[in-house]
Amino acid sequence: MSAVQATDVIGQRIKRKEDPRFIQGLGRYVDDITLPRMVYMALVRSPYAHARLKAIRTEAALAMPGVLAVITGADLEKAGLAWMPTLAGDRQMVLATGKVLFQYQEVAAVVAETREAAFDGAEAVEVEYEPLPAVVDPFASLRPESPLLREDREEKTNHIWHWEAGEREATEAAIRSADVVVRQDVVFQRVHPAPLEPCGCVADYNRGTGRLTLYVTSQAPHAHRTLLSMVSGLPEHMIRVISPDVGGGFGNKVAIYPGYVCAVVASLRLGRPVKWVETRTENLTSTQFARDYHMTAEIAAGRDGRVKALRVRALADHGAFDAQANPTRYPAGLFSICTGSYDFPTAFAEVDAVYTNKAPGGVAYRCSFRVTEASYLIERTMDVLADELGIDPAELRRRNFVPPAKFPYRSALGWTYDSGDYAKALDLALETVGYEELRREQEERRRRGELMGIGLSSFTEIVGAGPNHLFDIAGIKMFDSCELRVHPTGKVLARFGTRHQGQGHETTFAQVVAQELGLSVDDVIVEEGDTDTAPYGLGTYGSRSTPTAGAAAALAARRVREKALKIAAHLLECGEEDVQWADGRFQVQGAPARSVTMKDVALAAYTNPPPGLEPGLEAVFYYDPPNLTFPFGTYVCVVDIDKGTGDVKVRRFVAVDDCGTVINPMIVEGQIHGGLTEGFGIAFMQEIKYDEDGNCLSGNFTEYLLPTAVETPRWETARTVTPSPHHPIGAKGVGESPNVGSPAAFVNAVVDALSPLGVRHIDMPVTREKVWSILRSHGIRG
Amino acid sequence: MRFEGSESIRRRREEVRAFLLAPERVGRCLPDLQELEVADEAHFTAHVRVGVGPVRGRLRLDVALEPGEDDAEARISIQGSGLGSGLTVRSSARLTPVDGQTEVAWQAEASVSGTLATVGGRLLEGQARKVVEQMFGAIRRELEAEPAGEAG
Repeated sequence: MSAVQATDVIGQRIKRKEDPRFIQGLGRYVDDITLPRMVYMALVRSPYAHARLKAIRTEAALAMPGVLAVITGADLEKAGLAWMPTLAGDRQMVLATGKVLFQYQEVAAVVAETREAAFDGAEAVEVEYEPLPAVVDPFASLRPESPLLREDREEKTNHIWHWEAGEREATEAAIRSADVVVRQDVVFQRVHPAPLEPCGCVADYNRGTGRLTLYVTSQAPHAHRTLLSMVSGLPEHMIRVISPDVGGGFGNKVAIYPGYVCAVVASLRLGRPVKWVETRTENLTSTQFARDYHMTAEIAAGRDGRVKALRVRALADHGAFDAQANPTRYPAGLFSICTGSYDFPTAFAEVDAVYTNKAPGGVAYRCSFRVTEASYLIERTMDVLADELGIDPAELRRRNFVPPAKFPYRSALGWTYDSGDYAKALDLALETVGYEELRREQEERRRRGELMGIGLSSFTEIVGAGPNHLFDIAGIKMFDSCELRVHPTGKVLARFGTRHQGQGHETTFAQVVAQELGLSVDDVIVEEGDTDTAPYGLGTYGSRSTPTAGAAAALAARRVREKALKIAAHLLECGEEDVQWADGRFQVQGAPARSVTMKDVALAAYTNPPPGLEPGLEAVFYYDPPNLTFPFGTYVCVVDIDKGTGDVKVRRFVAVDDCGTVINPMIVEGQIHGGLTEGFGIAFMQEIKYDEDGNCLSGNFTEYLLPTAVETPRWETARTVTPSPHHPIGAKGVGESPNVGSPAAFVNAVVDALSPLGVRHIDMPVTREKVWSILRSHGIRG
Repeated sequence: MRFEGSESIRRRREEVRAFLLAPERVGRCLPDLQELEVADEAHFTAHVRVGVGPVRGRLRLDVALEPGEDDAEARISIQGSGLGSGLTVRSSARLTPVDGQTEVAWQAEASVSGTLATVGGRLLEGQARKVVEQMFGAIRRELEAEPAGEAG
């Protein structure tokens, strides 16, 4: 780390630089973009989950006023664009040919002079279908009598892939010989990131220059440019992707959607800019969902509660196409973090993936590639073990934590955890919530027949993909980048390959650069999202921005400082070896009063560079992290349950997070508040549901509920700081921890409240209706 | 979705059955009919207005009338499309003479896909039941408004 400055910028609660424009409604989103001669596109979508396409009649639509073009799968087939590759190595139909495989699948695109005319035109396209039986249940999908969904594949099965990690035999042997084995089936239901801004783009092909500019609400603009070039055949330098302000992503805006390809095709065909912005229903029913993991965990343990082995099986429902956005080597993402914070001597995990007639996916919703599923599973099952053994859940966790002395720690499933002090976070959480007192209160309330529960979750994450030798998406290595330009007046333009969607990069990255260069945060402007100007990067998801681009920021700044030191020596009229960087300035060793600032140096870089040194002061750094980072924490949730209505009231929620060095505590707390609120929604309210015919029943916000200020509990946050030893400033990434760690805390609290009834598990969402039914089945009434 | 009901019609069974197999007559009984086009003696296409919750607009219905297994039965199949939705209805009516009248015991099985199912959601079943009931109610009224045929 750099020397401590008189005023440290890192660690300050600096208000977000981006907020004034967002608060005043001055953000610029895709739908705010209006270009001359722009036209609009709407999509015709399948009402059936599974059907043969018999005919598409476009005449009536083409005759509608304002309609300019109707594009079908057959049109795209001629251009070789009817299918596109997914990030997971599968392929996906852009517009349906032959048959449709999920409800709301894209069937045709209608382009018109106005948005309204495009929608009217889409309604006038007549499509004849022959409905086929739909497969909705992933287990049924694997049965021999199940219809084959993907007739286009060589493998004539609905099974997609099998993945496993760990030691099968050793784990089985440990389970056979253990004192105690608990086994729990756990479903992490299908949910949706549901960003408030849905997906959309403006494709602008300029026939004069031959260049395509795609304005798109994207978490990974460079990856989109490269993939678009591969799919379309347009040379990459003739494509410019601009991701303007993004109104929430949460993983939903990592993928390339059929609508984007159709808008590009339409713009190429018409030579006019084409805008496509989906509706809320289109977003919820056709774009990247998350989870849909059907899991079983078995923990073998001694009577003393020490864990011996973990065996996990999971069935992953990917819908019609395997369109998840996982790194190539990891089809089940980083699910093998499922040993969590615990020192399992051995473990084995396996995942099978299947097709169903549901929307394709699934993406890591505010999650580093299946970490949420893994964390929920282990934290839920540890409570089952605690119940079996009659050991307090906090005590059981403490007994099994990976001890601080074991770091860097090699887990049974092959990860090397960088740093951690799990007991410290647990202790702080228990102390903050007043755990002992709460347990006493719970005993008293139970005697009075009241239902109060306390739930814990001591999660470990794995974020910051990733080391190049392990991580790539579609072959592109997962590094990230920063380019710094120091202007003559000492002001800095900092550009990154990441793309924030509310994470506060414009502030945190400015803090990192300011700290390293001895400047004020106001001297640094952060720019992201334009592939013509930003250095190549893989984008923002998987809590990777601070671990990768944040590191690149520090290291690019140190490169600037290396050159600046030569200029400083020139200005101070001494040798380079006599100059040191201290207190945010260049000082002559032994004579600290003789010093120059970065501003002095910047001016000299352009007006008075030393002889033989090229002018200017810039640097670029592409950072390949040596390892992932492993943020962790303990969450404690306290609930009271109304026996009459099944209503669960979250009385307290204490979140202790450890994300290493904290750059801006206010932003970290904001991230945690947001993620906890999402976790609360997942635990109690949300599920993307289908009926037996494959109709999606959660296509709007009256069915798919988002927590508002009315439902959301008050969050209490605290932190411990265990820096990452390999990150230049010791930071780990925090955006996803609360979404990863909280569902187990909520559910554990409810199950704890109901445990006197013999309840050991409830699948999410834990709705009032579910709790009420459980209470009634035990004869309990309000 | 499965519905059933019955109508007591003051007409003979043969008259009722003949009505149920006549496209132009059954077609007129569809609620909120906008356009009717008879294709042949057993098929017609109708355009109807529908409104389920926030989903409102026009549906195209392709209807087939079938005689059924014996003289006491008539069947109606409907294939619907539009509004980003698909609709399949299979219904049959059992005709039993009772005191010079005809008891029409009908049942219908409907499946709905697309926007009507997803956005219409909870309102759909009630609305669909109403439409089928209205149709058989209209068939009764139309028949009874016609002069009675010769006693058989």
